[in-house]
Amino acid sequence: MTAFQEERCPFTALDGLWSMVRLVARRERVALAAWALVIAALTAMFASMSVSSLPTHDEAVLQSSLIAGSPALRMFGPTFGATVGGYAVARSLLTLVVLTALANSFTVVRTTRRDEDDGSAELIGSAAVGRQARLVAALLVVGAFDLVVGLLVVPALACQGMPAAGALLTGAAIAATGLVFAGVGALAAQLASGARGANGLAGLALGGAFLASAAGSMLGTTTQDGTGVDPAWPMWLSPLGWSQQVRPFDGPRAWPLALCLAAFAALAAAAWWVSAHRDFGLGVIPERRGRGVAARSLAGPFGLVWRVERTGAISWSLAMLGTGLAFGSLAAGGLKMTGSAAQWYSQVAGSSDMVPAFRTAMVQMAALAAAVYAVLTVLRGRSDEVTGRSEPLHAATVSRVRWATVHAAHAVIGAAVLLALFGLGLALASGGDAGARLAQVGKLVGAALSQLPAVLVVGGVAALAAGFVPRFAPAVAWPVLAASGLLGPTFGASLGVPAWVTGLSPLGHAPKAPAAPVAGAPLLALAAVAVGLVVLGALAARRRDLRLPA
Amino acid sequence: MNMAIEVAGLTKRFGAVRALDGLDLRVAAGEVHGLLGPNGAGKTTTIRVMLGLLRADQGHARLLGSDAWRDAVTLHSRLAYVPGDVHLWPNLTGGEVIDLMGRLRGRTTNRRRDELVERFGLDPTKHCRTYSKGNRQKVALVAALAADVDLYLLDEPSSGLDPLMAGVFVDVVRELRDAGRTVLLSSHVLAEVEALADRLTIVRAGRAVESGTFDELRHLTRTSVQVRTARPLDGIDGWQGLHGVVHDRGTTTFAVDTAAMPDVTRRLAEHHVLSLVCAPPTLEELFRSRYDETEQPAREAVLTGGAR
Repeated sequence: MTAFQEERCPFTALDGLWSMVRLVARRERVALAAWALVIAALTAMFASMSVSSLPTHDEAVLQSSLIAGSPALRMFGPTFGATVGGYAVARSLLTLVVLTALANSFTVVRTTRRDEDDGSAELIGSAAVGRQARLVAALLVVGAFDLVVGLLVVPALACQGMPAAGALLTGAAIAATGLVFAGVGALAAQLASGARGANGLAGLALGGAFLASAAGSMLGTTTQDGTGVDPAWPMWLSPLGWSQQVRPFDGPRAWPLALCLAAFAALAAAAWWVSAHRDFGLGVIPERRGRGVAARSLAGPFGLVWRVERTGAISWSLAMLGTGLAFGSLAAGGLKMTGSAAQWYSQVAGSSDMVPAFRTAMVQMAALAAAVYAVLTVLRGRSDEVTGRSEPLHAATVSRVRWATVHAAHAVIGAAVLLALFGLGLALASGGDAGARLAQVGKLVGAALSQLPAVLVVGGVAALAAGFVPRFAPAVAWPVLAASGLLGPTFGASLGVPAWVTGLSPLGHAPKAPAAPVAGAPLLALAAVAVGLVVLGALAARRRDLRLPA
Repeated sequence: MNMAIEVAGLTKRFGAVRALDGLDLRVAAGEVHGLLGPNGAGKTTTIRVMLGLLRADQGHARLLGSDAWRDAVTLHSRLAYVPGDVHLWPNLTGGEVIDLMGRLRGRTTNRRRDELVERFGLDPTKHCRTYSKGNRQKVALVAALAADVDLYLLDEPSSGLDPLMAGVFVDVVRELRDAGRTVLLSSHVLAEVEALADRLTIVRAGRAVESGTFDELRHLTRTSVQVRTARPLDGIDGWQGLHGVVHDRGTTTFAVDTAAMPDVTRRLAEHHVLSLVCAPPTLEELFRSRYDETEQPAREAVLTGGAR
């Protein structure tokens, strides 16, 4: 009888809330502390970079105008005036807000939905814990996290000499937007039929929010003095846009934060309602079915790697093409570079002609991205080995040499396609009429592809490590990649590294195209090294035990 | 006799751990052979060496007449394998995994695949990340059993299956045996091995401690006895060849060595037997007796109150 009466009282849904809060906080404390520290450190770093790169008011006007005048640059955050703080916000707020949003939605999904997938929620649900206690506890914990992040941001900015009021508003904007995505995660966790699907939905919402704010910023108009942007209406559709509309250092206003709080309240209420009405373990959106019979292309290891990788590969391709287009459009209008920036480009590219120098620097960045892809692809083969997924393949007719070769082939093809797409993007956005752009295609795609052998040497190191020491291959490959980047052409020059050290980076031996002509001999030498590394790795894999899980 | 598996003197160390210590295993073509042993005995390591996934330190392994390490790839198109722990690609469907494995070997027909999917009640359109442990096991089973090969290596194949599906599995293996295929079945489910295996090998600490048919192994073991007598069985604790004597409300149960059987039956009769149940040892008892004797004689002595 009492149980029936209690069922009607809404607060029994929160029985055991305090225990749940402590459980969630206990489980998530390390991850949340790490997120908060990273976000605070990034804030301090961006702020310090902005302060040091804008020593004079003239410099602030010049750089703010550069962002405000370029749709490609301002899509990541518009400026609203020529202040150091405003410039720091334009350069970094999106990154900080996105990181905070991810921390929020991942944590909420993990603590509400992942537990349901793996059954631990069942254990707790059978104890005296209200139906909504888990959801509310997760929101309370990430709410506290957002508060801490917001508070950490304030000194990170204020210590760089930025106005305290602006710093406080920036912190509030980051925290409030994070809270919106806690609500997004909570609702997604109730709608999807699993944690993975919920993270996908939340990611989709975040992507949509970015597109809306980017579109609003790109479609906006530059203000009369040229240092700021009047964003267009799509920005108001996006929580990321609301955070930018706070303009903490250029005519600050707090009321867009009310939009964030209202959105959070609506999302949390919706999550509560769905949670009260759905069955345990099921979602509103059913799990998508796949094909019951494999496509004809899935007939061997090559087809398998493509099938497993293709979503990632397509996303990478779109990102590389998009980045190419964005940077290409920057170079299209001719570049007004002066002072230290011009010096940097000419040092990196070995040319004082700014447009080719800029493109060369961008191609070198693309090479670093392609190297990341190559290493990821090669390491996938070894992670299938140490997790035991490839065991039945080797127990069937797939030899270790074939397994290593297939991953190397995917890395080569993938890196080549990514570089070519980046070059294509640069060329298509290069300005002029269709004929002029087409003429650039061959030249810039060629310049991008000239980086391929150096990229493959980095991938080859990963293949060698996967062959000899599969368990430790990531611990070898990622530091080698990081060192190749830091000592390579893009960063090495800024860090003041001596020439013989930059010579250790394979990327430093790639041609400085399109600023300088491409010579054949270094390319052949790099390609030979890459092939040698892959062959050695494959031979090592043939002689040893597979490192299977016990 | 034509041997499908010939393993001799296999040694394998992982660092300081000696996983295999001179293991021998012979399986004749056309038989279902059980491989029994506790966790860590070396069953999985043995199978992985036979598949050329691990390299033996000493000894040799020949399957279907070919060297397990050197001829691995050509050999593998003639065998099928179910791993002990099934890991699948989370974003592939079960059907895709089954087809991939079938195409790698090239000895699977769609008819056989569909028949097994149906019999095991597997939904092949679901993504592997959504499968329960039992369903992942079914994917591996269908992928292996659909192959038309000479030799099947099954490492704890029914773990995670419910009793109904375990029954389907037993049926399918019986059909394979009737069709003259060779099956090596490593298992903890003793009833399953008892139902399926023609011969078995017991592995302990990396060695084969016993090998033979069930009758041959029962020879070496005890009979379970449950007896009620009119005259109390006082002094029975001192009898030779008895183990695990328990008195419970007038009923006495114990195990008796085969050699002591004539003596024990004679002495029981003197106590005026009211009821007597004798049973051959189940595989479980047989299994336990092998290990208790060689591994834990002290513990058994305590448990049986020092009857030995």
